[in-house]
Amino acid sequence: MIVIENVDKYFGKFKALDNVSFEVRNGEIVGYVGLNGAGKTTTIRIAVGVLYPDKGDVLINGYSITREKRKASYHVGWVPELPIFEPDAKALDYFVYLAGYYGIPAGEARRMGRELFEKVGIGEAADKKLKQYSQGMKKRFALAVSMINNPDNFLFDEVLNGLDPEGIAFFRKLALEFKREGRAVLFSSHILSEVENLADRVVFIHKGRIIAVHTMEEIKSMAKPALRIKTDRVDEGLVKILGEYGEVRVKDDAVYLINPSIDSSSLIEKLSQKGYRVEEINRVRPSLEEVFFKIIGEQK
Amino acid sequence: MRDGFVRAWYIFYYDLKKYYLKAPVLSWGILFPLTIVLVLGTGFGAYTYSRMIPVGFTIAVLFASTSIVHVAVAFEKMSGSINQLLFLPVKSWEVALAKILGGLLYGFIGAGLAGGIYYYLSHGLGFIHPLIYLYSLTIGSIVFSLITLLIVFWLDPVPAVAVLNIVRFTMLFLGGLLIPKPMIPPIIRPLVLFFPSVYVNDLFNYGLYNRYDYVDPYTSMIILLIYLFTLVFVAYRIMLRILKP
Ligand SMILES: Nc1ncnc2c1ncn2[C@@H]1O[C@H](COP(=O)(O)OP(=O)(O)OP(=O)(O)O)[C@@H](O)[C@H]1O
Ligand SMILES: [Mg+2]
Repeated sequence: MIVIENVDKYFGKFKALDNVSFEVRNGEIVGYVGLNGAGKTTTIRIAVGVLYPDKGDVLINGYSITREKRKASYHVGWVPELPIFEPDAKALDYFVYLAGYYGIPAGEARRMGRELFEKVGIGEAADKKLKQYSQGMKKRFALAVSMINNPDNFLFDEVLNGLDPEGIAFFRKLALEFKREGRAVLFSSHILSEVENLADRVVFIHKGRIIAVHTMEEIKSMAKPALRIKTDRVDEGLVKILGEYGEVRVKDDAVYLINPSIDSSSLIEKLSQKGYRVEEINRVRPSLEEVFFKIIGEQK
Repeated sequence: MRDGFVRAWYIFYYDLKKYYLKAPVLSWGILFPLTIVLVLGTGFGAYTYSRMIPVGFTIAVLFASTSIVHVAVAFEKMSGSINQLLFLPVKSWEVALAKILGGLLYGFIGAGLAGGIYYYLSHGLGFIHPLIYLYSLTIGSIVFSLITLLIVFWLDPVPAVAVLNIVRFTMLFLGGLLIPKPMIPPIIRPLVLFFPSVYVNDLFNYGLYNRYDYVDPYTSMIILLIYLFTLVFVAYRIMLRILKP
């Protein structure tokens, strides 16, 4: 269980986090979303004890990360946004060194390392130097490192960045496995479709403030159904007609009718009466992306 | 607490393997001060030999301890791996202690090399009060390490080098080392007493030759202790909160 309580963080005069509070319960996957520079990484770095908050605290399984750092650290795994390790160390050697901090003897750590490397898909590269690792390999290595102490809380910062499709699928499986085992998982991501697939709840941050927290069900109900319509031409007349049946949004080469008060076949009929030829019409799935822009948009 | 020391030792030991042969440690920490040690020892210095020998020791200790501490933190900040270190189940003071152990070891190495050179040049190393000499070496190395630790934790690696060098070179000239007391204008003398190097040097002087330039050895010992505790306090209260990895 991760509890973030009223955290403030300043960088000089700039307030990067403003009274940030939310929690990640056991057996729950929480997505953390926001624009670039919103404060996701800063929150996560504070929660894992790498950065000190100016106000507030973070509790990991009830242990304060600022006052009981060691106890709290035992229960948390972290994949940094940019995993950086000793560049000149060989991956497995470095893993063994890190495991030493958790009191795991070298022989056991080596065996465990090989096992975890195999699991995350870098088994072949165990004896390579970390500076020879690709970005995705570093992420995989960081995943293995985050599991050293078998913690019950995980914080993943943009873990999907740089992973290949197979890596993404692997991560999805892993996160669900953690969830089944009753662990708490927080992950930040810009890939909203993945957040939508995986998260039980989504925390929205904007300019250092938490602006919304919603369960996936709430998001699905908030995202209104829409019709995506493609016609031979898009002009003011078309927008005006559609406007009678709901909110209209023109995006790319299609027009969206949000929350339509008319079904598709009647709409096609209406439009052709007015001289518009409908080339394509379909219902679109409500998406996190839409809710995201709505929530963020309200802040602007 | 005991576990804390074990962990600090673990970090220290790994640091040693990583950093002891790095270029800035060798050039600034060993070669540069040894050049000065040699210059002072072979009589190019303006003052009498035996006056300059304690100075040689102080400079060797100052540069050796500050260089390893600087490298052991700055390299980790530059590569970013310090984040991983801070993430681990260690307390900040354990990390700080590990870095200071490095400074202490290098202080001893610096003093050992300087001692070797002076022994070879046979200027008669007195060692009249070996314990006082040892006290100065130990507390001096730790004080110099703590100053470096504050600078390098506080600042980004590149400005940290600049500030560290300003501090080290100010000590060389105004800290009672290269410019002997009679050549320092009386108005500036109180300023000299601000630098810990004066006390380290006076204690070396006393330990080796039973004399001192500025203050009596017992006052020096106490002042160095005050330095030590103040720096530990400052490091503990401030450094860990403003850490900019
Ligand atoms: N070390 C630092 N010094 C000064 N400002 C910082 C520092 N780290 C972060 N910031 C600022 O704090 C704000 C939040 O940054 P943060 O990295 O947490 O954003 P983020 O939500 O993770 O963004 P992204 O999606 O790009 O990863 C930004 O405005 C950033 O410029
Ligand atoms: Mg980020």
